[in-house]
Order: sequence, then structure tokens, then C-alpha cells
Amino acid sequence: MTGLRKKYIVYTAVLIGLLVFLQTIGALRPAERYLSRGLNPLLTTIYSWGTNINTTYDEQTSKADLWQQINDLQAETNQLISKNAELKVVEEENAILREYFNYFDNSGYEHILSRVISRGDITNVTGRTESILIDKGLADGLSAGLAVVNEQGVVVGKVAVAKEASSLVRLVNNRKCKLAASVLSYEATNGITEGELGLTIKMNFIPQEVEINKNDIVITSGLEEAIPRGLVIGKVSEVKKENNELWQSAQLTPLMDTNNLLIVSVIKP
Amino acid sequence: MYYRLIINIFLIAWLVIFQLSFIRALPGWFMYLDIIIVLLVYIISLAKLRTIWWWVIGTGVLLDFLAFTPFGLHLLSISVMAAVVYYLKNSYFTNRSLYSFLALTISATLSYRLLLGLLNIITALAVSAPMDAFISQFFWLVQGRIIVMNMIFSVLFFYLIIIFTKRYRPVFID
Repeated sequence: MTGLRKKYIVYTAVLIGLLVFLQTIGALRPAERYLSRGLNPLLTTIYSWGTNINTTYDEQTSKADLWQQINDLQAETNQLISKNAELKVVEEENAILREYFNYFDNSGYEHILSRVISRGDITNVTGRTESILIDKGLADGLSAGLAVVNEQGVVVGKVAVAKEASSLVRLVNNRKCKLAASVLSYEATNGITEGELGLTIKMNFIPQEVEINKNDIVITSGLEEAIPRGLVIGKVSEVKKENNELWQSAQLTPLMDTNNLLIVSVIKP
Repeated sequence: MYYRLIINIFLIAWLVIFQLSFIRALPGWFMYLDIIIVLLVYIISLAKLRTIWWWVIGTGVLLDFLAFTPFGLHLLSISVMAAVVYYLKNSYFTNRSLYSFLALTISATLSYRLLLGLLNIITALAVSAPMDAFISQFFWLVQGRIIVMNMIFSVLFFYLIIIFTKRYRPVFID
């Protein structure tokens, strides 16, 4: 029996060594690609079952907050109606300008649609998703550093690691997801956003002299090579400004629910 | 022979997919359940050495292919976990009571998760990456929740086995 156990220990050690060696030299890549490609549809389907349960659970637990949200939304809707009227005029101007500058031909983003196949590893205690796995990878032209957006064009995160047929995306509420950002109304304002406790986003390194207000929209600054300027990251919910500090910081509210992502787009530069 | 092999490969794939896609997407504390570890504890306790070996290698390799940690980390962690559980089962927790399975579940979860964390730190040191790129600030709290959920599932699984097989007893007798 002891001999048999030793035999299995030796088998295991040799197999692990061999597999790690083969993976290092890239010999397992085809196997990994076919395996991922084969399993991805199944992973996607099963992930959507779990997400549906998650959504139902969230709906049930958040009913108590709904009344407050309705009141807040009503006020916000009134503001948006007047804002919308202003924007209609700008939109007409914009349509004409686009024709002139052929905007889409010059700077239209190339998107790769991708399905979410799993959450990343469990790293927080808030229950919020901080990373996701998607079913597109190196074989589809993805690489680390690319921006990932949802169906409304809001940044959900950034590709952290790309494998043959899948990629790990760190979401904007993840502490390890850092994005070069600007405040929409102030062209020159630059800072860096990172997730905080899996719940919100924090924007650091904003110069003290810049005036930032609640509800300002924060966008990508375009300082990162792989991420274009102008993708919406979040909305300012609180500004922290200390006179004795070199920089000020702002707390942002993400404009999407990280727990219910099913399909995302990766923007290629 | 081949029929059983195919069934086992199918079950291993299904188990890993279920863990990565379904369990991870669940709300609340359910997402902390590590069903792979709990089921491996029962397989190590009940199956033959040859079957155990295939399950350990199968789940380890599949997790390494699908996870985003350096290749081999899951395979090594699961192999060491299996060795620890196998040794404890043969040396200390020899009766098949609920308490034995609970102790084995805790040992398995701790050995697997801690080794995985340790290997992540070593990897971070090897590539000179900041430690927080690999280890979460909530590491210990998350491990605690995983142990709690694994124990609950282990109890449920134990009673399921009792209902269907009537082979085990929930308390120590000897």
C-alpha cells in the first residue's frame, strides 16, 4: 500500500512538472484553446443561470430602498428633461459637424462583442463582482490594457490578462483596475481612478486648483495608449479636498451594475 | 473501462464548470462555496486510490486551463490538499462520521486555499509584482466564509449520502 502511494506521488510530481514545462514552451496552447472554445458556450449558459438568481435576489433585498430611489429619480428626471432640451440643440449641431469631419471614419472604435463566462476569483467581502472572465482572448486580438464597455458605452473595466480563448477583466470597482481619467467639463483635469472596496470608484491625483462638483461625469482621459478618450467611467458623488494635501480626490458612483453583466464589448484601439 | 473513464471526465468537467460559472455568480455567501473541494474530500474518503488520482489531476488541470493564475498552481494545491486529506483520513479520522468529514473538509479547505495563496505570493515575488496584485486585502475573511460554506455543504452532502445509501452514521460510535 505504501509502495502504491509512493508510486502515485511520483506520478503526480512528474505529471505536474511535465505539464508546467509544456505550458511554458507553449505546447499546451492548442489544447487550452480548443478546451476553452468548447467549454465557453456551456460556461456562458450556466453563468446566466447564476446571474438570474443573483438579479432576483438583488431585486428582493433592495425593495426597501426603492421608494427613496423613486423620489431621487423623479428629481433627477426633471433636471434631465431641461438638460435634454438643451442637448437636442447641440445634437443637431453635432450631426452637421460629424458630416463635416467624418467623425466615425476617423475615430470610430472597433468593438469585439464578448460574453461573460464567469466571475473572477473571490477577493472581496461585499458580494460585488470585481472581475469577470470573458469568452474572447488572444486569438481574437485582445490584449492586456484594453477597455471593456457595456451596451451603453460605459466603461466596465479593463482587460488584465488575455489567454488564448478567454480574458480576465478587472472591473472599475476593483482596486487593481486603474484608469487614466478626466472630468468631462474640464478638459485638462487628469487623475487616476481605481476601485474601492468593490463598491465605488475613487479618482486620485486631481490637482488642487481644479473645481470639481457633485454629479460631474468622469471619462477616460486618452492618456493610456490602448484606451481612447471620452468613455464614461462614472459620476462624481463626493469630493475630498484638504488644503494641506497636494492632490484632491473624488468618490465616483459606477453607472452600471457589476453583478449583472452578461455581454460586454472590448474596444480595440 | 472506457465507459467509466468517459463518465468520470464528463463529471469532472461538469463539476469545474458548475463551480466557475454557476456558484461564482450566486448572491450572498453562496458564492463562497467551493463545491470542488467538498466533493473531492468525499471522493478521497470513499473511492479507490486510482479514481482519486484521476479526479485530483482532472480538476487541477481543468482549473489551471480556465483560471488566470500561473499554470500549475491549482494542480499543485489540489494534489497537496488530496495528500493531506488522504493522510488524515487514514491516520486520524478513520471512522466515517459527520465529525470526521467536517474535520476533513476544514483541513482540505485550509490546505488548498492557504497553499494557493502562498504560491501566489511566491509567484508575485518571482515576477517582482506588487503583492496586492495577487493577494486580496480581505484574504482571511474570504477564507473564513469559504470554510463556513464548505462545512454547511459538507453536512448537507453527508445527510444526502445517508438518505440514499444508509452506510454512514452522523456521530462517533467507537
